[in-house]
Amino acid sequence: MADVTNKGLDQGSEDLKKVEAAADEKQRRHRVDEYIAMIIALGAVAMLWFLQYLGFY
Amino acid sequence: MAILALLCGLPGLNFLFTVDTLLHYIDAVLPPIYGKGFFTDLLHMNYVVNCLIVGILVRNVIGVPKSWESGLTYSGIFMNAGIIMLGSQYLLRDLVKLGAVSVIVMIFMVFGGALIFTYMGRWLKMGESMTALLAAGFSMCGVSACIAISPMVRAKSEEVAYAIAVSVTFGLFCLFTLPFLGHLIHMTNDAFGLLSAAGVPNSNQVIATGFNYSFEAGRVAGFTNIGRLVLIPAGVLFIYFMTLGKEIRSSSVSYWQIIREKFPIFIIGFAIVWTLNCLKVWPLPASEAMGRVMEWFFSLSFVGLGLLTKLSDLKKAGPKGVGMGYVAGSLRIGLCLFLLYIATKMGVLN
Repeated sequence: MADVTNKGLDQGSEDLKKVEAAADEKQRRHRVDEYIAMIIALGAVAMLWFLQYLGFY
Repeated sequence: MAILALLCGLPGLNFLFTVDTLLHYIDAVLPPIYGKGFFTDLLHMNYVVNCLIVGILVRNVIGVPKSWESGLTYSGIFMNAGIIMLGSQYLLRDLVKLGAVSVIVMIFMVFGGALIFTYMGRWLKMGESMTALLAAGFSMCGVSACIAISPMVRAKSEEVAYAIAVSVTFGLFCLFTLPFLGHLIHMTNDAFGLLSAAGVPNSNQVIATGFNYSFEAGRVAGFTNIGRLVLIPAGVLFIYFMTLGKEIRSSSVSYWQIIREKFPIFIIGFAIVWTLNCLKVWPLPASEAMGRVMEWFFSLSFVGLGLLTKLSDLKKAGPKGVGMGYVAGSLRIGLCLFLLYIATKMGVLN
């Protein structure tokens, strides 16, 4: 009985570790995505600003 | 991709060879129904719906190769890039007009919505972690909020998948039904934009729902959604304290770390573009071109959203989770409509 309970607890903590690892990974990826979006969007704004400066708009 | 989008930001170019053009053409050829075009006026088939439906059809009918999966997850980048460029469509007067009312509505909806889910979860005996996941998913930013709160509430992996499935399918349901509700009760663009930002769970779906109603409503939805994104760290902590009993809370949770990690940093990009636009650094035609590029970014992310939507997730969500999610989500929308009605009556909202 005790063995079964311990096995269940082990599986639970194993699953919790998996969830934590997935959340950490997702958080890291989310941050990287945010920086990439900033580079793309601010780059696009700068390019359009430059095109306007050259007289395109 | 950005260069293509930039090129297509030039006036008129992006209108060529699109499904949108085809539907406009069919409507021009077919006899009008009650004086209106079938696709564009009656079904409101705009670039948002077209992108999404094509994406959903490809994913669920034809299928997407496995090698595409990791690449498709990057489509969210274009949503963030679009939100940053949305800053070029705002002036200081927009903040004055919408700032106070949107902040109040968002605070009510994030914290009030979390309370609705918490009490409903307790009443239905959903379990603390599941209740917290659903509260986070619906009150804040859908998938991201579910994943962010999962280790704090010690959720099981299947619970996380389950909560994500419920929030994503509810968002999809809102995306197609809320614009019809808005047209039915003759909502203004400002009110509908606020309703999308406050009522729809995921940010991508918020923007899509807003633009599905009108360009102006999409603009308002994007702007007011930023208020909700800023509230994520506070909302996560609020749900953590509301759903977990004192004895279960972990002592290792660092509040400062949560605030730092959950703060959406790309909003700084939006603030930079918005400030430059307020200072009139570029003239109006450049602003309009930025608006076209923004639409391109949003179109790409809408296609990505469609291609990532698995209709089989509806089955995965199960009847109890779907029931609670949809009822509590609809209650939140009802609360939001009530707040908007009061704001309109008080004259603080158009």
